[in-house]
Amino acid sequence: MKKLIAFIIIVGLMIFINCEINQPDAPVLNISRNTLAISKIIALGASYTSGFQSGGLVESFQKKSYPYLIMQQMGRQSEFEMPWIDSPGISSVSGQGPLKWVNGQIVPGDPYTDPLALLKNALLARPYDNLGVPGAKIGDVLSTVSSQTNPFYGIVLRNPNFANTSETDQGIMLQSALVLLLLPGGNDYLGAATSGTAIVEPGAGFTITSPQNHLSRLTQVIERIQSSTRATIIMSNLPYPNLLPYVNLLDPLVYVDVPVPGIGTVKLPVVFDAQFQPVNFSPDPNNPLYLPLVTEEGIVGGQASPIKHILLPFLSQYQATGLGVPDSTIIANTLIGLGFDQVTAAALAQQAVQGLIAAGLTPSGVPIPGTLTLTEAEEQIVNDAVDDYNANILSVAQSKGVPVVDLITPINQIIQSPGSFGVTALFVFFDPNTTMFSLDGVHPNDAGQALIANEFVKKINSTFGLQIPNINPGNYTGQYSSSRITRIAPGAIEQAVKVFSTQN
Amino acid sequence: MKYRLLFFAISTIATGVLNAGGFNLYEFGARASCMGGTGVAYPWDASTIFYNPSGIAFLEGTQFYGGLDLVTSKAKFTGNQPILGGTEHETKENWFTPIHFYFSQRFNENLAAGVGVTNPFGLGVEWKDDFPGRIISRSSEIISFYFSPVVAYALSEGLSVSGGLDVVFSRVELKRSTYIFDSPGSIGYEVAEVTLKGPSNVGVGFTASLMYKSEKGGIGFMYRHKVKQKFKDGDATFEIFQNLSVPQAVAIATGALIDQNVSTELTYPNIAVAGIYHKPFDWFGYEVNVNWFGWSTVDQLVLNFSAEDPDDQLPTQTVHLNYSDSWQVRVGVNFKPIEKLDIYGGYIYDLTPQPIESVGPLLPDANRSDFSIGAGYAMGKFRVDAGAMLVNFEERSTVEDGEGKNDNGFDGTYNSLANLYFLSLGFNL
Repeated sequence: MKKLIAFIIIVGLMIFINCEINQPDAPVLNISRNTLAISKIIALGASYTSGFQSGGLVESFQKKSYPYLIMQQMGRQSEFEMPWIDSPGISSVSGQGPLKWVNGQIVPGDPYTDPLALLKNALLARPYDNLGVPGAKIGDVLSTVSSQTNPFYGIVLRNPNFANTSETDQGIMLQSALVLLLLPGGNDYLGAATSGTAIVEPGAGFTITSPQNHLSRLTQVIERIQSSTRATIIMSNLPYPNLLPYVNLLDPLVYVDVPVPGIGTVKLPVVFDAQFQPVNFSPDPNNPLYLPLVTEEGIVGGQASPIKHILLPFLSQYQATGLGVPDSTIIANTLIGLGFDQVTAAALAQQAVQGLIAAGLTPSGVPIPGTLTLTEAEEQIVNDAVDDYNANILSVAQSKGVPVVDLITPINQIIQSPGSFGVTALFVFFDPNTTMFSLDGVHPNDAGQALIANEFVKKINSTFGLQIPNINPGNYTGQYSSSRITRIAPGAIEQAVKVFSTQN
Repeated sequence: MKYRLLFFAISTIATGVLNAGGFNLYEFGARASCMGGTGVAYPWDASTIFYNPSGIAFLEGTQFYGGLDLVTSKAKFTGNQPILGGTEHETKENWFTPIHFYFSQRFNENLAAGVGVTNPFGLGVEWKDDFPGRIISRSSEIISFYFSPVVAYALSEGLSVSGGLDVVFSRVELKRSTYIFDSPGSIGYEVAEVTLKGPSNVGVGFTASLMYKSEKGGIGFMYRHKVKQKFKDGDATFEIFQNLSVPQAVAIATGALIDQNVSTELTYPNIAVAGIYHKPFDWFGYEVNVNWFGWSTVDQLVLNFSAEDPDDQLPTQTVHLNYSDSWQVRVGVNFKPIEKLDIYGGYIYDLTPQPIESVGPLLPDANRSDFSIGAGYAMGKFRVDAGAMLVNFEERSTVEDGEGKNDNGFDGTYNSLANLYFLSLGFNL
């Protein structure tokens, strides 16, 4: 009996001691895994990401930024925090709001005193979801925390309150599910196009980040985010800068085949009228005479590579001071070079000068500086850099599993077939109704942001199997007066590109 | 630069919090514990001070009874799909040792007195470090000490009544991760672990009971009043992680997460127990108890913080628990195959007071079925009782019909189990 009792006790205790529990099965929520992939979205980048338009940033522009439009398509815009900037907005030029148009002329924005005072949600107790800092290069996205010259760092990153953290740092701390990265490296070459100076790092005064450094910094951004969060990253590729009205607005309008002594016929920019039509100074229609604009660079400047693009800021000075318009001496020398004798050349030059004045132009004889022109050779340097950057983007995308939004194809389609997607890539002078670019000729307007948003929506949908409604850029056109804008006030456009030349 | 709390959103203590459902122990005497925690209807030994103090009126002379429990619990958790990816996690295996000690003295045929020391709330849950629910709780531990002086009076030969006090003191320690910069769709960035630790004041409750005892068994009723515990001098201390992927976040956390005082209140529930013991044979008896716990006293927990610099002070946080009153049925049997030897067995069905919204890492409670077994041996004035209990929790999920129910959005399925081992020694003078 005692043995039986002892046996019962021992067996009972062994059962208790050895009892194990099963790992339960995973319950399933009525939530799509794909929906989770977009449960928290942030955006890193630069001015395009921030909603920068017409040389500045203001809430009405920000609420058309592509990340905001994506959130709006999902009905979740209320949870998306940006550094909301009150009217009149902030530009890169201290004290001036974004550009506006008045009486057919683009003019500087309205004044303000303290940029930080315009920040409506400065006390938001976390980093913003849209961390795009106008002017930021890919290296800045990675590590720049403040700037003495670029006010947007203080506005977007709010350091030192966030312990001197960069866009990437703050993005990591938000622990998002999806990180959008638009134009990674756009500002690493855009400054060359907008300054008319193409020098690749490590050249002195370089305006283009070396492709090696672009690759290194882009890789670091991606790796830091992927190693510190569970986020999926979607980034875009980089179009050539010559799609920008800022670069291309005068070509091919004012380019004419001109005979150049010792070289032959070359397509050069020539003197043009208020309707952007080349002026023919010859009374003989069968033997036209076009006067090349005076330039420091290019064939006229004595270089082998012709001027390919004259940049937008030139226009205001052309209209106001006659920049690049030849005077009688230059015209006479040109005619002599073409075979006229000195007396005839001098007489014709006088007639031409009178014609210029009658056309409202000032024959200043001041050459267009090299900072306002891009030669064919310079453009090639920039385009080569863009090609290298895009190769970097594809390489990183493949090795890190990052989907890439193709912006090049739709933009080329718009350029080749204006009206595609309901928009054009023309400057506001030539298409105020459906242009996708803002008054500064560099940054997209509402319709341009909608186009970008739509391309990202398509990529998000294909990546995660979602059905976020597409965005029709055509629905965002009509931002400007349909009355023709034909002039630019001196100094107006310069503020649009100042952000590219700020030193961090 | 000093970072202001107003500037940073900090989820410090948030939602997971102390609750006492699964922290309650009712095993304070090896013999009664092996009989399924019964004992309200019959005075086996001085542990009747805990189960029904009226029983001491029937104990001879001076009696000591004391010992300890060895308790270990395990919980496994599988996170939901798709948010938690169906990942599997479990708690660490920690041991807890609640004690019990009783002394009773019968002064004459009618009057007896005694005192007991127990830890009716004395368990904890500690998850492994990679547990994703550490935002709610990584570890929790509560220890309570009940000092219970009682007096019993025999109204007649078989009927006694008693009254007593419960002088209660507790300590609590909770740990969880702290995140900054939470926002819609994101819990934010993990920067620290906060420890909330502190003693309570001394709370006082009372106990009243009666017992009728005969040759063939007994009947008993016991009521233990709720006891409020005020934790006024608790400390909230932050351990900032130093190896963050954003190193500057150390400075943010250091500036924002300032050690400070925390206070709260918790009320241990009323308990009422009724039972009957029947002894049809000299060698066999059984007892059935019905226990009622007034857990509805535990409806919310309000955490109040205070810091030297008011700017550092965390905002008051209220955690809704919404416990319901609950019932238990306890059955115990005892055999006496030979003189001096007793064999015990027991079963408990224990309904959880915890609503599904509160089920979480701090306490994944569920309905339980408990099985116990043990033996006792008498050696003159001494006796020893020992045994074990298996507490088997029903699997419980916070996902119902595809919908997450947890208040914190931390949904999954829990499966828990606890082993208890009992040892008590008795001595009669």
